Amino acid sequence: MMSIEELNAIYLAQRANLCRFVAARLRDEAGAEDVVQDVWMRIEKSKKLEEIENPVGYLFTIAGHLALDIIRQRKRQKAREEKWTDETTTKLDGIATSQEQNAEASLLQAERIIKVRTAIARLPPKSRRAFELHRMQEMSHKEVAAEMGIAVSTVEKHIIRAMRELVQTLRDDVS
Amino acid sequence: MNSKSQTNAKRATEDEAIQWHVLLRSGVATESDWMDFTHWLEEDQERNEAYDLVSLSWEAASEQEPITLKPYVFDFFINFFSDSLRKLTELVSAKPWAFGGGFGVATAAMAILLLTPALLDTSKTAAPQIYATAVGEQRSVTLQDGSTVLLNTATTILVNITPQARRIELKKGEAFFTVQHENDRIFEVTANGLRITDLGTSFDVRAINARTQVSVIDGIVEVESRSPTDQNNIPVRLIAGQQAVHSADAKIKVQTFDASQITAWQRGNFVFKNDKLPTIVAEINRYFEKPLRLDGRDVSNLSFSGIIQMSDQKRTVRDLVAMLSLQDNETDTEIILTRNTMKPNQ
Repeated sequence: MMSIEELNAIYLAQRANLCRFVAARLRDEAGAEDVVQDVWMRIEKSKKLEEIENPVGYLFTIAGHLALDIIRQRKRQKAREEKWTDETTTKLDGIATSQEQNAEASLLQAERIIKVRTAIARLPPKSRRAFELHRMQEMSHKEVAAEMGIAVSTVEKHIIRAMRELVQTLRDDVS
Repeated sequence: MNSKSQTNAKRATEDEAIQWHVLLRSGVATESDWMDFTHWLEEDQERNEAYDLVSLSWEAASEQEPITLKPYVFDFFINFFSDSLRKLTELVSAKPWAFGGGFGVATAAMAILLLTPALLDTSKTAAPQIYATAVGEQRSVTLQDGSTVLLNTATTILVNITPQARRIELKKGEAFFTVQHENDRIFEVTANGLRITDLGTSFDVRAINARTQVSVIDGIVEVESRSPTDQNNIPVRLIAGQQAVHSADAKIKVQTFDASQITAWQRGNFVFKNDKLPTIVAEINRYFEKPLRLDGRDVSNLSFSGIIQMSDQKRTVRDLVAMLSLQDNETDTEIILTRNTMKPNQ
């Protein structure tokens, strides 16, 4: 059980570490401060304090998510800029087709979903089950181990295997 | 370093990133684990990029289908519009020659004017929706107008229904349409270079590589090539029992077909009528990840008539092998079919 005061104390104690971690992810120290500030906003709003078992891990995980959002925005921005220059040099009607572009982006997403589903379906049954419990049902390794009646170290192996498969599948098209 | 060892180094870094990701998500990662990870990241930007790939793959694992664009369209448009405007202005001031010297600013202003009605218009139109199936998967979709679409294996369609028209694009694969007829709203399917307009009916469209095939089961359908180079792009009317075949640079060919063969996939069967083995193998390969491959000319000349179940590949192969007296040899990546050499040729 955790009170908001306790979590706040842990947050303050971890602030410097969180900043360093986010700065490493973003390669941007000034931006990291803002993100870590955001982490606090998130936990203030979080309603499931009682579910937090590993508060330090929880804080770093949120910080990691926020950093990833920024990284994703940067990638999109970059892709859009590249696309823009390609199109404007040849024609000006890129704007009129933006809905098509949007549909195209969504098509890419649909294809990505299929790839992911196929990759997960191809896994050996136990790896698949372990990964699905961990990813979709948000179980910790320990919980997955208890659910499947296997060792925690085996759960880890299954999940590593699943992640390898996913990274292999998506290497060329996550952006 | 040559490119191969570069790739290997990259893969090794990715694998380290995976191990980190798994540890940090395990539920027991400690402060010192997170700080060790931070140090690991700080040492090399490539590690950070590898970790991006791993995190994004993790995120992708929980993406859901079907995807509706609706909630994003407006945001997207606003962003795109303001972005475009900003860039256009930058571009015009930085490189006026790109827009024909002094006309640059005028062109930009015109583009903006043209944009405005387009912007208003899209807020009224529904966004396209995407439905897709994986290899071996089939799925039925009921559209908002009550028409149904049955998607066969490895198929992607884009649906755009507005108060004026119902437009569907078959991006790839095969789909069977049962259309709810409406007098004042067309139902149009496009596939490769072909436009199919329905006049109240059910029909099957198959778009594989550049070949498009439209088979009408019931009612009337109009088929038209959209290719600008096609001299004879006069609409062709098809009635039940007729089939149109169109390849990239050929005219639309109309022929009759066997309905039981075309709709067999909806009952989980392959139906073959005196088809050559290469055709049969290509058809079966649409449904399974692991491809069948024919080895030897003698095997390619065989033909077969009959029904084979498509429920699972092992069974399909077993039936095919038994009926044609073949031999199958499964490797990690494919299943090789050869003529059975154990028995002398009959």
